[in-house]
Amino acid sequence: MRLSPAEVFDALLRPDQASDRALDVVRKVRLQRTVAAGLSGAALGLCGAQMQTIFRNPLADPFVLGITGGASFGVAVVVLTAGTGASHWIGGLDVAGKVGITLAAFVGAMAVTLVALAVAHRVRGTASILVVGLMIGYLLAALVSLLVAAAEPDRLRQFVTWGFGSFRGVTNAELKVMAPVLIVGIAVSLLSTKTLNALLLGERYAESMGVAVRRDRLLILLVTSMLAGVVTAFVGPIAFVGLAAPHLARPLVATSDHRILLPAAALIGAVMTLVAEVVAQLPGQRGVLPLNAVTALLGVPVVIWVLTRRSRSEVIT
Amino acid sequence: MSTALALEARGLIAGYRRSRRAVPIVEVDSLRAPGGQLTAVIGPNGSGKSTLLRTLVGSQPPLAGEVLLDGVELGQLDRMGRARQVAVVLTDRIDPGLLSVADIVLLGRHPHTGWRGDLTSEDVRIAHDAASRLGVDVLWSRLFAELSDGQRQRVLVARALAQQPTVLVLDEPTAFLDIAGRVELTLIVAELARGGLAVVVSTHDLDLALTHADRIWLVASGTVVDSSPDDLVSGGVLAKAFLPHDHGAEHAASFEAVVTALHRSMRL
Repeated sequence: MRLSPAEVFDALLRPDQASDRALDVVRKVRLQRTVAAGLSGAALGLCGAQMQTIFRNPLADPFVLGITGGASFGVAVVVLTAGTGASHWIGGLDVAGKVGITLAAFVGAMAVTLVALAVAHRVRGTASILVVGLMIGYLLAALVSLLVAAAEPDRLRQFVTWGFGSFRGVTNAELKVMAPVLIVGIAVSLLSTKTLNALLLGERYAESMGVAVRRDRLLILLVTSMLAGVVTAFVGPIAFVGLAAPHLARPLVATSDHRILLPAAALIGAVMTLVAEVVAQLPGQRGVLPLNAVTALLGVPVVIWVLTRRSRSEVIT
Repeated sequence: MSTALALEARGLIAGYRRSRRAVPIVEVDSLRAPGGQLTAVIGPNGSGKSTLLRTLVGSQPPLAGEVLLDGVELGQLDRMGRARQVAVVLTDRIDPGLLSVADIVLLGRHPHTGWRGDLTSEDVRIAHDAASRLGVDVLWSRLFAELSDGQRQRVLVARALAQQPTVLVLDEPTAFLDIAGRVELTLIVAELARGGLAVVVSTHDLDLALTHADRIWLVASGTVVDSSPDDLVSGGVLAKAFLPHDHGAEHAASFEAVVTALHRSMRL
């Protein structure tokens, strides 16, 4: 559908002047997609920045805790076993439908999160939490491939499509759930700046300055997992944005102070998903590129370029 | 000069628990670190200096006994209250990313600020004063990652000072420094003690400890001997602590001679 910039402008800000066609396209389709993409990107960027500080590891992002793995496993169970005996216990839902997939992804992500948080509560060192998250991720990936091996082609196609990630499937009704949850989560995340700044000196220094390290770490991980879980449930696994946004934000704002870094990472995450969404539909009428491929294809060269340009200082996190 | 008992321990057993079994490392009836004095904690490796210090600052609970800060039991204070009384310089190497010297020293204001960590002009003044006392105010806007070991260590002491504690505890602050850096930092912490702070510093620099400290805690054989530097040198306890096995009388005597000579020469 082609609309001129003037038509889009009218549809957004002067609805009485706009054509019905423009109103339909802009207000019922494009606006949802844009809001969903922007909020998802902001949430993922924020999660990445927080996790890289909590784990003091530049490779940490929302998915290392196995959150994607959990979501994928949930979706794999629902989609790939639909119509077989295994799906009966899931209940009367239209299990292979959109609602079923969203619910399955969310339940899967949250289940993994609860396991990771239980581990986080018991161990002192953050490295162990990270490794446990990775292990859960591998375990679930193995289970998913078992399901894939046994799946029917139609089901498999549906599962793979979910795995591409997409903002265009988000309906108005879904956005009414997704947007408020993400906005509240983002707002709550921004309250964590003081603790995160103290954690830059390491857990022992943070503790000596009065930070309740274990409690705060648990709360921050809970919120990041909620954000990443909700995003994954509604739009699929969007890889790479959470990892890259903080790395692009740091040199831009030239500080690790979270009062500046967190909003910057959220903003850059939003820009990344919006750009990726535009690029994904460039092929035009014929369909769209997988979103996950676009974020990585565009993002990887940029991140490598940014990091090598300032490699002299060897400052990453 | 204040002589209030900033830090006091009674009937203390410091150690850890392994599967609910208590493993005591250091036991001591009574220890005192008064305000205005520099207390050096010395002892051979593995004697429990770090365990003792961690217990005294409340980052690990005592197996028995109590630690008092300005007369208040450590357990009675909440985290923030404790952080307003005790500040530490740890042996941990830190990697704070893109934080400037100012950012790090200002982090010392953490227990004094509200939930967002907003800084008042008073907070900035206190932090800047702390940086000046350590001579790192000239590095104020430099990145911490770009500094030398000696500069980093002074920034970390300034951060602890910005916390405005009554007790300052430093765990081997001179470990990574060259000899000039060691002397300089020792003089600085001695100066901080003269200003009224209770300063407790663990160190392997026996010479610097004996010449600059007001009190020495010698940690060895699971207990602590609290004495003045002079008594420690004349009493022959040092050789006993650092040479616990039977190295022969000659060995012990030559060790003692070295310590005494060091002590004399540094005092001149």
